[in-house]
This record gives sequence, structure tokens and C-alpha cells, in this order.
Amino acid sequence: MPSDATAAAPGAGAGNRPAGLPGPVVAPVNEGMWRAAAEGRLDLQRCTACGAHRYPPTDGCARCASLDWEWSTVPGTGTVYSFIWVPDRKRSDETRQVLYNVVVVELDGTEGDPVRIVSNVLDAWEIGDLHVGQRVELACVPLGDGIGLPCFRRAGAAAEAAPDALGADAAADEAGRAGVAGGGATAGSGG
Amino acid sequence: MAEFVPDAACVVGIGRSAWGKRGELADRGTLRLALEAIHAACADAGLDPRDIDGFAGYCDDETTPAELTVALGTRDLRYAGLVWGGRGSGLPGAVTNAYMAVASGVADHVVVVRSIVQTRRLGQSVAAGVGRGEAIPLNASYTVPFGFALPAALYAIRAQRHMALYGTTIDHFAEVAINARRNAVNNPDARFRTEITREEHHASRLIAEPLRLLDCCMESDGAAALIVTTPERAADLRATPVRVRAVSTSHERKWGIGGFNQLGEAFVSTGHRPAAAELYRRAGLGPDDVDVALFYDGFTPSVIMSLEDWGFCPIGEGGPFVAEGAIRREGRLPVNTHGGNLAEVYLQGITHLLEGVRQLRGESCNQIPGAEVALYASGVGAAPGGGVLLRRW
Repeated sequence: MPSDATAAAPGAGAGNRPAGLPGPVVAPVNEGMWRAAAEGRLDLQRCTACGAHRYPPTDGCARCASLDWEWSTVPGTGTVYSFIWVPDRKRSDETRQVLYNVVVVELDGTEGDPVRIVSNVLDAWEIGDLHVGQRVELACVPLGDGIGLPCFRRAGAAAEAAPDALGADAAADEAGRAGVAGGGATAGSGG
Repeated sequence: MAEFVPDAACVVGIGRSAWGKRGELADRGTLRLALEAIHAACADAGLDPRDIDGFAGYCDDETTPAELTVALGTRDLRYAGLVWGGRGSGLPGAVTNAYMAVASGVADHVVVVRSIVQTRRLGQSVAAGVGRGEAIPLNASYTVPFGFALPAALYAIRAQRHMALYGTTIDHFAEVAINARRNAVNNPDARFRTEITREEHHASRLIAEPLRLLDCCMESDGAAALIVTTPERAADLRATPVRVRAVSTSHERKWGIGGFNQLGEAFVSTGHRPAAAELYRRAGLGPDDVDVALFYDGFTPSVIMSLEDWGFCPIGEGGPFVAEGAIRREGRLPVNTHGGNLAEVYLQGITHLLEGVRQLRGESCNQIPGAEVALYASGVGAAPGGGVLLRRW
């Protein structure tokens, strides 16, 4: 069952995921997304009438009210909009408190209002490993039965260096490049 | 659009049951607790409980009009309405229902009631409310499998971005909790009557970074009720009436299940900025007219965001506003003078309205001299949330 698969996932090297939580309900409005995640893609609902992406899945378009939609693959990159750290009792003991994170990621490459998704960043373990504005990329967690969860990992070291760890003048060039890369992705989301 | 009719309803009675910690009153059950609260409110109003002819509930209250009418001896049931879900945010919707029912002549005396026995914990994760092998609700599929399930998490994730955008600190959240406890010291009915320090707040255990245990209310069992009628009938009843000046339940667009796709920076709000604008317009009053604010405070960031959403300070300045002592009872805007959800009791906001009524009758344990206008504002939650403005008779 999905819930068992989820519980097993962290031990199976899936990164920092909360233990023992139930899996998602599979329904017509979301099945394509869970199946795409099992194949390493992020598919979102997209309105066939106006082209707006949306998440979480629902039956009507908030922009044009159409009930017609299709699945659309998006790049799977995005920016941490906010995050929290929660003690994971199932993975903690007297000597060690394990925290899991929950992030809201604003996705790149979507049409319409910004599209955000709640997820986990699998390679972030400690308070300080995440900040608002951080770049992340898709890292799906398979749950078995042909479905998976769209999760994320921190984007490559170069992009990561841009907001935080930049030396004063030295890396102006690099900042420029990071800005262009980020800007390009953001422009794609304006649509 | 038709003009809103202000001052068309009054609160003529308030009451409560015994209350206690989560599960403590399970033997009594929600019906018994609701009846105790309604009887107390009727005694306060000088009204025969059999003359209640309407019920307004919220948060999917378990106590149904079918049970209440039999046990109260209701002579005529003319109105019953429930506001869907929304956790505690549905109270202004329930007051709106009562307001509309009496103002339109549908019913004479409508009781707004909330009764809770927390055997199934509201404050535990949504996942924990689901038995082994049961499926979670479809709408929880986009949050619970990722561990986004605690009510505290809904506030924590907004608080985190609020900190990143505006420089809000955990000291600011601590001040909200300190204020609640300080006010509760004078409230004999409050569950938590000892003061706390900033250090104790910071040292309390982590719930969902950036929130700690002392940022959270404690789940409670109990019931409270208030009776709404027209100004004409109010004049004949015993207790000093308090006017319901206006109500509003307008909500932010795209504030729904999941609640993370709000537009602009509405994410770092309670979701009630449109309600605030509409409420003040309907009332012909503004933030400067408010003498006491009663903010839903299941979690401390709610108060800081409410200060901004309801126009008491610019967006992003809720933290500095509390830091300067402005929400203390001696400050510019006394907030939660009864101790709120954080220190009095957690009955999902309804006891805040009872305190508003006491303030405007001059009967509060922390009476604000000359209080004329009290604002109630609901917390983060799906529509309909919003606010209620009460005015002295």
C-alpha cells in the first residue's frame, strides 16, 4: 500500500523524508502527477482553454473557469518560497532529534499566477540548510505501484552560492551569470 | 450591490459551560456542554431557553439543531445554519448567519454556539486522525504525505516567510504569548494564569520551526454561546445589549484547501485583508476607532499578521508594533484582554467574542476604560473567515 511504501522510503535512502506518513489518494485529478513523479517528471494540470497551470489539483480553472484540462510537464526547478522544520518523533531518540523539512516551492516555467507546491527537500537535514529564495530541483521519491511523490533537492553548488556565500566584489561575474540563469527561468514562468 | 445595513443585530446574552483540557469533559459530551453554555447565555439575557428559535454553528460543530431543539424545549425552530470547515475561521460566518436571520425577520433569537470535545484531536496531524489502513481525504494528499499536517505548521510556514521578508523575530512571537498570559492572570476563568518570560518561550520545545510550544494554544473541551437578536427586542431584555455594528466574511482570492497559492504577499497574512476593508466600509469605522482587538490566536503569528491585515500598522511592521508594548492592556491597542486562545481557553474564537461583549458592557477582568468599539478577527483558514465589529449600546 502507498502508506507502507512511504514509511519505508527514508530507510531506502530517499533522503530526509518524514517517517510513517500515509501516501496520497489517487484520483482522476491527480493520478497523472503521481505517475509522472514515479518516472522522474513533474506534471501539472494545465487548462486547455487558457493555458494556465494549477496546483493543487482541482476540477476548474481559477483564471477562466473552464473545466477542461490536460497534463503538462514543467521543468521541475523552482525557488523556496517558505519552509519549516518539524521534529520527527519516529526517527528521533533521547540522544538525537531528527528534523524533517516542509517547503513551499514556487515553480519555474508555469503559465498564469505563480504555482506553488508543498514538498520536502531531500538533501536538507539541519536548520540553516534552507533559506527563502533558495533554488531547488526535482528529486522524486518512488512509492511503488507506479506512483511517486514530487520532492526536491538543493540546486547545484554554483546557483546555491549566489544569494548567500558570495564574496564581496570577487564574484560579480558569477553573480551576473547566476542572475541570468535565475532570470531566464523566472521569465519562463511569466508566460 | 445592495447597501449593508449596520447595527441590525445585538448580542443580548453570553454564556459558557465548564471547560477543561483536551478530553477532560468527554464523558459529558458536546450536547451537554452546548446546553450548559446556552442556558447560561439565556440566564444572562433574561430569556427563556425555549424561546431560542435559531442556531448558528461553525467548524462542523458536532452538536446538531435536531438534538438541541429537543433538549432545550424549543417552541419553534425557524433557522439553523452551519459554516463549513475552516477550523476556527468560521466564527464571523456564524455571526453573519445569525445577523442575517434576525435582521431579515427569519428568526427572533439566534444562538451562536461552539461546543468541542477533543477526543479526535484537532491539533494533531490530519494524518493522525485517520485510522490505520484508512485513506486520507483527497484534499490532504498534497500536504499530509509531505508531513505538512499540524495546524501549527500552517502558521509556522507563514511566520518563516514573514521573518524573511520583514525581519520579524521569535522575540516578537514571544511577546504575543507573554501578553496573553499576562492578561490571563486577572481572568479567574483562564486555564493558564501564570506569566511567562521570553526565555521560557525560547526554551520551550520546538513544534515547527520557527514556532515553539509556547507559541501554541492548548486544546480544550468546553462550549460557549452568545444570543443574537434585533435592537428592538434587545431593549426589552435584561442584560445590557451590545450592538453588532457590522460583519464581513470576504476572503482573499485563491485562499483554499492547502492554502499556499495566495496572490502577492497574501501568503504572509491571515487571509482577511479584503474582509477588513469591507468590514470598515460597512461599519463606517476604521482601525483608529477600535478600542479593543480580539484576534484569533491559536498560534502567535496570527496576532502579528492580524495587526497588519486589519490596518493597525503597515504590512510587515506587526513585529515592531508588539515589541513596543502596543498590544498590552496599557498600550495603544489592547489585544486579547481575556488571555485569548493562548491563555484563557481554546474554543476556536468564540470566547473572544464573549470578551468583546464584556468590554463593551464594562465587565471585563481587564477593563479598558471607555471602550466603545471591539473588533474580532478570525485566524488563518479557508473561507469564510473575516471579522465582526461590536459597538457599545
